[in-house]
Amino acid sequence: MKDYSIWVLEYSYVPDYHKSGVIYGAHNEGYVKLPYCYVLIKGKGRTILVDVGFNNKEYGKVLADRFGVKNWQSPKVVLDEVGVKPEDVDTVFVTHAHFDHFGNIEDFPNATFYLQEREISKWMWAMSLPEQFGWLMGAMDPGDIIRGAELARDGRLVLIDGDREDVLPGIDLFAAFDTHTFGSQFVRVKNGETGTEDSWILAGDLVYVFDNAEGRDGDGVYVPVGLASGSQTNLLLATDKMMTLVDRDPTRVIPIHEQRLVERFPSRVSEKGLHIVEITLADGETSKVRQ
Amino acid sequence: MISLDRDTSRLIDEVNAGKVSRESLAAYSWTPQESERLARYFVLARSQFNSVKKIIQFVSGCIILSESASLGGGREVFHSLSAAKDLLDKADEETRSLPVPAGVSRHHQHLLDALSCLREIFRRFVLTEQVLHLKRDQSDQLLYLLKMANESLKSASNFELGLDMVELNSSCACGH
Repeated sequence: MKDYSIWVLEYSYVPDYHKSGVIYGAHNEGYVKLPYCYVLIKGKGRTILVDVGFNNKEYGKVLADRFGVKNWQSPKVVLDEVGVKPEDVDTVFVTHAHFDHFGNIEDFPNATFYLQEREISKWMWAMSLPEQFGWLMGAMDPGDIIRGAELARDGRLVLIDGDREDVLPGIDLFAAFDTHTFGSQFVRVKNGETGTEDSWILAGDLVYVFDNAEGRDGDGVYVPVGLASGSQTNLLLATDKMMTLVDRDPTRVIPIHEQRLVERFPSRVSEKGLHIVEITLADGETSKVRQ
Repeated sequence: MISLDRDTSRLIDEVNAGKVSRESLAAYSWTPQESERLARYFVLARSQFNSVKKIIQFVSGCIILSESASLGGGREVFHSLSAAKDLLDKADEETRSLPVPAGVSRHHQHLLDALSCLREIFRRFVLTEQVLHLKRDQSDQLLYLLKMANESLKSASNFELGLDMVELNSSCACGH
């Protein structure tokens, strides 16, 4: 029995992202397309997002002009492709607080957000360091943090301390401290009768592409992502934890920046030129990618 | 060729509007003295800009943590607020003493406005234990001032000049 459907929804992309950004050590190996996505989980009366993308009103044009980010579409447009409105979203799991994952808070007025407490507290520790440690504070938009404070004031921000099994029925959060960021987390969705045999991992930025979890030649040797404020070792340990949680089936670890997801799962391209990837369908749910 | 005065004037307009580009910078022909003064201003302003950004983030982060002090956030809150206050005092003094070339006073004013909002936060609230027990109307006021500070800072921001609201060097978003 499958309770949850999962779709990976592209909302923007960089056509020529440096490969060493997604695969540690892949220097001088050219560029790859980097899709920007969030994940929709739907089932058991819940409408859940993993991350919310970046806020185009704040920095979209700057990013587009300077860093080659293309074709940003609003959550309203992106979610409409699968018959969901932003107002329908009741829960958001934030894998980490970088502006391209935590930026669109205000577009989801009815959602409660879940974030690791350490993502905030250790980032604040980093801020208290001398100026020469400024690199540790990158990619956090002060506007997003203010909006996060508003969420907290309104009781819509839940700070988690470590792993939280069954944060919602059949959904677990797992902490991955000092990896891509200080307080990253990833999500497991359990569809199986016993709770684990049909599980999916939504990896956030802990795994950018298949190669990170499956090896550069599919040889099974983990390769960390190209950006970490924590350690490469911790990234590999987090990857191994994910693999353990899905009975070591790498196809069940979903990297949202992987363009080749469309080759592995049913998908279609929207009128806006963005991909919709259908990872799994709950019992009774209709496909959003097949006619 | 456009006169130096018009060049400078246009640049200032572009800076204030957040529109200056590398190409437009290259198109100007300043005297070495004018160029030196502007460059010096923006280099020095960068440090103050980053301090203001950091204080906004500090105070916002404290509000977030204060909502879950049971997790142990209280210690970080006190430490961070103390650091933010020290940074504010330093940034305030240094921003006021910046040598401001003629014409960039609006840009300088944006920084001062942001600092003014932040000073008001520290004036109104004894941001030590109080931040852990804010009433709704107090947190509304505090967040309003934070947003005002952030808006003023955004008006002073400019990627080309290194005055970035988001530092993208350690971000998964920069494509190049």
